[in-house]
Amino acid sequence: MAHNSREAWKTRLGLVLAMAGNATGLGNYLRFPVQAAENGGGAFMIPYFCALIFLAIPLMWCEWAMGRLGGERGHGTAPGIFQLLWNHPVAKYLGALGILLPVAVGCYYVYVQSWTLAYTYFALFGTYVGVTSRAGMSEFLAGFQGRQSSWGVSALAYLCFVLTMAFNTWILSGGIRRGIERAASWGMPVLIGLSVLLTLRVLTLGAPDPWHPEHHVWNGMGFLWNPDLSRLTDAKVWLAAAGQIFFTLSVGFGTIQVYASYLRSRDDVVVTGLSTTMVNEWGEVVLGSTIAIPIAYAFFGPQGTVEVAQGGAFNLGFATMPVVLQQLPWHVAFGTAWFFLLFIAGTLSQLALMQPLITFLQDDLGWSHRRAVLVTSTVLFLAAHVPILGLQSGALDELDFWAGTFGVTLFALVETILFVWLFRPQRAWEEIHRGAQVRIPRLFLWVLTYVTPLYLLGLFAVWAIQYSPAVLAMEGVPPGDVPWRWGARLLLLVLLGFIGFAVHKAFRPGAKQGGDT
Amino acid sequence: MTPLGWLFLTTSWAVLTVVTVWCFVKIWQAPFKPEEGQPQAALDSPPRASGATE
Repeated sequence: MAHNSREAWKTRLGLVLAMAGNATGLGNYLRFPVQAAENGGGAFMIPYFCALIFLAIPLMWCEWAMGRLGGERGHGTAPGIFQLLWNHPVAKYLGALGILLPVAVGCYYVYVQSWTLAYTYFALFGTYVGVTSRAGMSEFLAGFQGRQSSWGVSALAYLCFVLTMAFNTWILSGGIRRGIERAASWGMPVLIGLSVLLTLRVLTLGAPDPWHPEHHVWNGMGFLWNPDLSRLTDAKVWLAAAGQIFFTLSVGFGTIQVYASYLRSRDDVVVTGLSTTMVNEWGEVVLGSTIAIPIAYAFFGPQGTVEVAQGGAFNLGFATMPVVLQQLPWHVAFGTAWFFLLFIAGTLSQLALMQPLITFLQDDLGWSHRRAVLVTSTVLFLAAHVPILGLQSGALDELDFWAGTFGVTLFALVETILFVWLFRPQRAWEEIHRGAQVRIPRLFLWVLTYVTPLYLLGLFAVWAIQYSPAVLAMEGVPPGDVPWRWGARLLLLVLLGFIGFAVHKAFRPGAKQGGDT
Repeated sequence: MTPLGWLFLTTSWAVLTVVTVWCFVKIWQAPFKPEEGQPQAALDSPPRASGATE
């Protein structure tokens, strides 16, 4: 039975832009170039494309098809969808992960999003002009965050966080069409336009330092793309590529199903889903890789760029880029463009992280849209205080590992087993092809049934066995940071408890729900 | 940049660009249509829960 009272996307292009906005985040511009530079340069693209074809694209089709199936029956989130796939009392509780993970990730991602808002302002009004070293910009960032203050957060950083929360809430209050789709329809073209502008500026930079003509920006492209084929025998490179492709496409977060649940029953998911993947990949490989690392090479040379890459993504975005962009004519315009594009990317991803809880409250508890948005924003606002106040002590890193790394891999594994094996491969295949504009090569049925689950199992096993014990035991964590790390874990447990209770309440016999089960 | 670097760069960019353009041509050829019996006006209505209690 179709639930016509649920919203639906207005246009196919709007959906593609919204879903691509969900996937396109800070990682496209900051994480990917660092990962590529550290893992064999051009050779990194071999395991990267393997992971794209055998892991991410099949998983993405599964999530789209699951979402559309659930939406037709009035369930846009994982608890209801899992219940449809596997008629077992445990199924809906496994689906609770699909709400917990976006909330847990969203409560720290919104803080990072607020930094990009603040830095857009700083770039526009020249606040950091004159800070011309990376060490100086790192100090500037720490000062803005208030790492040395008694509260662990500065008044300005907190104000930016509040403004960002209010902005997100305002967009979400418009719903799918008038909120998310409209924001993506404006935001994505601006994001791509600013990226192209910065890419062209970087590629025409030449060698800015006349004393070092060898620091030509095209040598910087070579730093990123010249393949070190010997690295292909290193399992870590394959793992890094799979991890990058997994996170960049936002699979395993429970967000794709939610957006796809607002499709209509005969809407295509094969080409539409592939389109969103390609927009994200094009933005990452063509645009994202061309900005930060090559420009860093042009100003700091090969040794400096190695240090930049080893400093990590945040260091690249918030400490290195402001320094190098200041060296350019029109630095105010280019600096503002850089941070504004990061703000748009962060905003569209954050909206997708907040929507699952809103959809669950509406669909499964029968709440009004307004009430669901207000409660979701309040939950995120309160939860965000743990990573904000505990930033210095690693609370954000703790949440990022358990929710953003371990949790999403576990969730992806669970949903794949449910959709492909318990729902049956042939039914899953037919579900993906309902209303499809083109047929997927039959080879992918085999990929979907065996390769993707095994790929995920391998990824999960490595993270669970190799990394989790050290994180769990807090190896190397200073004693002063331990309470905040436990605070982050407690937050996850509290959120899981509340969401589990809400799922129980929504699915108890005789409960009033938005849809039939 | 070495010739092999150029090969990896141009191949990656070309493959992604061709597939992305192909996808957008397909989308342009077949935009979403409302389902039978579901007027466009209904889809444009303000968001609400299907079983809203308020």
